[in-house]
Amino acid sequence: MRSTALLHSSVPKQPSSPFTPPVLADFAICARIAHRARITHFLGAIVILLVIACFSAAQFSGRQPATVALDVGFSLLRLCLPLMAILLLQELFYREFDRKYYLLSLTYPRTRFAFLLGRGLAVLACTLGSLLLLSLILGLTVEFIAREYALSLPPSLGTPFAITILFMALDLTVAVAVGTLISIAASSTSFVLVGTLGFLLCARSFSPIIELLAMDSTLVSNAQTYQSSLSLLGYLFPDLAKLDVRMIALYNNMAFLPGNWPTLVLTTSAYALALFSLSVWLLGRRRFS
Amino acid sequence: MMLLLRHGFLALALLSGTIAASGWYNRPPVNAAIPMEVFDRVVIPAQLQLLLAGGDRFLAANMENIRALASPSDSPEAAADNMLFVVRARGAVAKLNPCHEDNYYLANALMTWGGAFREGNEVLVAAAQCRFWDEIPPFLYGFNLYFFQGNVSGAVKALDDAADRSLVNSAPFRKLAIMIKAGSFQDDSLALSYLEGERDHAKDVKLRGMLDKRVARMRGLITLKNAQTSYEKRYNKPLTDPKMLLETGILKELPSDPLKIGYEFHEGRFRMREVKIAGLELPNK
Repeated sequence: MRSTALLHSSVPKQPSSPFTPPVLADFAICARIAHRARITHFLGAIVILLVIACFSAAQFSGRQPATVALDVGFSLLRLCLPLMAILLLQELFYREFDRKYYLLSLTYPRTRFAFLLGRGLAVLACTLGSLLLLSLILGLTVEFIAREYALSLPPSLGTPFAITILFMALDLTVAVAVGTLISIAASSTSFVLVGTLGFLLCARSFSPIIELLAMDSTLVSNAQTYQSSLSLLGYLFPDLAKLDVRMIALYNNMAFLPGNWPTLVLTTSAYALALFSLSVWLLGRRRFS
Repeated sequence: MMLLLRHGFLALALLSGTIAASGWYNRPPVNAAIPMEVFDRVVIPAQLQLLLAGGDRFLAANMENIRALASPSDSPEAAADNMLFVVRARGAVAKLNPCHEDNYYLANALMTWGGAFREGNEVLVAAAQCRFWDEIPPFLYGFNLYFFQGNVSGAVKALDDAADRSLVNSAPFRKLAIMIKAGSFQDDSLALSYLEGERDHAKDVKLRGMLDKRVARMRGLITLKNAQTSYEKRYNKPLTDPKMLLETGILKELPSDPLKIGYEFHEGRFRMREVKIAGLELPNK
């Protein structure tokens, strides 16, 4: 029963209703699949976790409870939202091929490019929508915590907070682009999960690790060699750690925004676009058995 | 025979199972003695903590800060290990997020006043550099430089830095810097009142207890210094041996340090003894 319902949901809408733009049809399909795959429950769990984590982290801070709550909230969003995007990608791309739904969803006149674009945008919209919702909840929670204890320098929930969330959205876009590429090329669901999370771990940690290694060379005997070989990763991965600009919101000071942020935004967007074009190319050449 | 052939694998399973079980039966007796309690804890290098937190240095800093805050043992023999652990853990937090306010505050309160002022000052320097608007880290750093190390020029420089940053405390900071330069600063009573103020503002009961011990340590030093002054007034000669205070009856007993680190008599004046971090040894052991 459930699988037939899913089958119908995957049928492209455009031959029957010529006035619905195909992207919107994809959004509707994404919403229904997300609902069936219990993504809403996952989102609810993140909300509960977020509020609990913020309040308990604030309990441990003597001097700056609101700042620590906001800090931990940002960390939680950066950990949980890529996970949600991966679950969606698994449902919308990998399982589509696995269950042979492509026999319907990739029929003429729908091109493979349109299919990929629609689904990719739908996942991105779902993820960024969740980010917006969660950031609102985070803001309210921090506002509530900030009332209990007056800080010498309260965290900013205005423009700096919004800028931080925007940079986080760019980080998530890269995650979605990587996940799309992997789910087109992958041969198992767990590879989508492991590959995307592994990519994010490398891209987020290599530049701070280089910085920390430069700070103390006592940890490894030949830190220079490690640094130069780790720096090679910079050509392979975008520097997602630099996109974490939360210090401007935590300490309410725009001086913490990296000076080269336009370059950073441009190169990261170009990286995401390159990954998406690569997935279009790969899907175009893929032979379904 | 047929039966054995038919159920050959069952027999094999039973046989192997018996052999495996005999290994369990012949195991060496379990050591029933309660193992010695270990108070020191592992601190993972900052780089690995970052990797374990999923590449998020802020999360790693927060988790290590919470661990450093929550895990000290209350038992009296744990004091030395608590200090060694806190020195390493807070150093790691200072590397991951030097702007962390709780970290520099607690590092100053617990490490600097607990005998590890060099390590505490390193955390303060990192905080002063990262929190370029905050007047408290350079003030604490300058105060510690003068009070613990007798470094007048460094203290004056740090206090001037603090005065430049401050909007309301600028004048007191400059006054303090001038007093230090003139050598007329009554350091001990001011330090005591500062420490008592910090203790009274602590929300956490455990932290209050920790700061209480440091207040008692400070009082002990003031007792010693007062005794020295009255000795020198009475006999009109400088004190050369702290034992003379007991022999002349000025002090009934030398003050005991609740942190078990103690005081020392160096070049004619009493001062707090420093914890020796590098060799993992404490002077009183």
